[in-house]
Amino acid sequence: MEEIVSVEGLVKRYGSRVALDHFDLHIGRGEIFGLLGPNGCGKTTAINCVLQLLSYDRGTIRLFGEEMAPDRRDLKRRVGVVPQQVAVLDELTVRENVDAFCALYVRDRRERARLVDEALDFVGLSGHARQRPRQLSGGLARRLNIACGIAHGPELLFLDEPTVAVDPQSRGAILDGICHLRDAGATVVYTSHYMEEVEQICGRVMIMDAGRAIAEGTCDELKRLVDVGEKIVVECAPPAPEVMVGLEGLPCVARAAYDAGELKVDCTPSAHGLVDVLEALAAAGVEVGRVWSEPPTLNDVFLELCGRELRD
Amino acid sequence: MRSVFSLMRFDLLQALRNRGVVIWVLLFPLLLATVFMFMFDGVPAGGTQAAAVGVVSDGSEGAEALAGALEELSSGDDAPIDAVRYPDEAAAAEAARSGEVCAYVVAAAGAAPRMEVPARESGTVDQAVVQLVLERSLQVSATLATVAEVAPEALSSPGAAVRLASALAGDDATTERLSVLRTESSEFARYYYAMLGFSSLMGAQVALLLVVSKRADGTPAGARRQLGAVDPVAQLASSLLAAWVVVFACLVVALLYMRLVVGVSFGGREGLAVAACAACALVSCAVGALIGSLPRVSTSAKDVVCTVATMGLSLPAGLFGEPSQRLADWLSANAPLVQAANPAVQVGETFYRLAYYDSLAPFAQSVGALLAISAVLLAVSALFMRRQRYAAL
Repeated sequence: MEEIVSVEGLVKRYGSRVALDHFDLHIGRGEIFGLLGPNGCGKTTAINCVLQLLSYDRGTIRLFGEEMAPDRRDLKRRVGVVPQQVAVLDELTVRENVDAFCALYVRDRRERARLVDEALDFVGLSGHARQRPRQLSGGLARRLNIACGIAHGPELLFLDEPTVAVDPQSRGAILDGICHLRDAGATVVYTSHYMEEVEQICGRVMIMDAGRAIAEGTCDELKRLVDVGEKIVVECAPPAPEVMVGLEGLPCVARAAYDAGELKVDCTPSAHGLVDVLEALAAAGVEVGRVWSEPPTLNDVFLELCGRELRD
Repeated sequence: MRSVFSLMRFDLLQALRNRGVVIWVLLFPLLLATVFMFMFDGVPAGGTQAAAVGVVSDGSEGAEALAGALEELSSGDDAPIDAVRYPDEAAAAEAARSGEVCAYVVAAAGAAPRMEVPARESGTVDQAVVQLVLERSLQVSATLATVAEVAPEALSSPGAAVRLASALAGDDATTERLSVLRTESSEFARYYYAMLGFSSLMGAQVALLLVVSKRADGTPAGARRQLGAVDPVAQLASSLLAAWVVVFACLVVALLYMRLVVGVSFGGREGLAVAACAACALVSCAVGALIGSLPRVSTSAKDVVCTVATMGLSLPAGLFGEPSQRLADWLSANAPLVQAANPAVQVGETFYRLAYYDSLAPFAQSVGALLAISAVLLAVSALFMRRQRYAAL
């Protein structure tokens, strides 16, 4: 697969603080690549370095196989960015905003008019073209933010938490739109704190912490990396201690705990222990109510890798 | 260059739709000029009124001649005194006590005219004016008496005495009137010219707004623009060009309003006044660009800096009444370089010199100073912007 983004040994320091520590990133054409990590882990710094908005201390960055530099406007023309904040001009209308940002890439006015129309249609803002950004709801403003980043038809698109503070309907529309862009040939780098979104649309995922990549792969590969398996929840009366010991002795069970009327059993990776657990409970005479089982999620992987303690 | 003009359209829209720009850069100068117009309306241009003086005559020929001469001086628009006749000295003294007149003159046969001044008016300008007029009148009388005694033939023909007296009394007899100004000066014009300086600095808001919106560390939209495929220098050039166009247009509107509605004179050189607006708009953009490029200063703090700079630099331009004009005069006498480097002062000076000086050289000097100030400010802001290019965001 053709490599669209290639970052090798990127180091970025703010004084004595290391924001990126020999960071590597490789993304192929047509991928939706998820970049995850706790706040302050270096995601946005990495993106800003790739986009040459920030200088860096060491490392090489290549886009489309060519070395990226601040004055490589030929490469910048092929890149689109949807920043975390809604970055538009309050004085301009929705249409003028999209046109203004598109003008940074496309000079021809007629060509631009067509691209702007397409972008507005794509995000469903054609009916709001003459409104000012302040007149838009949070979700519509986010969609305008996206339209400003994609109007010029970028081959590589960076989306930095585009669905923050967006209702489920708008979120669904945005995610569908991103998949549509991928299908049309774009490569997407997607950062978000919403793990279910990343799981839904990203082919590959990187988890960052403290300026380094700590895990990378498909969602399934990541789930296999950590000591997390199926979770079984059983509604029942509190089991006797010897029953709990017996459950934890099962080969498929990693942990078992009882809390608030629910028995929670974490299975070992790749194990399916529902039958064994229910048989053990029946043998001990425990009356069982509702039972359900959840496969491990990306959120579990994330918490396992980055820890559960609060970050700044 | 095509990129610059392509982006300029959006910069113009951004500036013209900004409420702050419309209010402070376009409307406020018009409002201020209107306030000045009503404030100065009815105040005489010279700033002084004729000194009221009482006249008491005993009806003798000599006394009546003096009283008549004083009354003659009371006529006309720019009369130095306003002579008021009283039947006797007691009535005149009462009028002086009540403040109706600042002094009174008693003329009687066989005695020299006598001027009585109440203690309150002693040493005042009004008293000095009356005294000067009276002394001048007495000098003319004495000169005529001397001529009659030494060369009576000079007064032999009918009307000769009148012609001689008129010649002696007129300024032209002893003084040649020269004016260093090409048009009659008005002390109020200085306020309007200072106001144009103030307006120019208010216009710095436009460049500030547009420059900040192109800076990666200024606004989120600025960061996004810096990611674009257009050279940052071209982006900034479009901002400055758009800011210049907006400020120039606003200054020309203010100039036309002052000329056509308020009646401020630009010495018949309105074309050059418009050209001066171009230089003023440039210095305005340079001030805005410098403030907009200040490192490690938030956008809201830059707005405050811009407002404070506008007010602070306008103070020594003489905009805020007599105290600030005295400060301006003091600085011009004692710290001319400080005044020369102040763009608000230079803008006021530019229009003053254009209106009043015969030669255009002083005007050209002021325009040159404005261009030099602009060049320095733009160079410093370019330095700041270059250093920030890859600064920590």
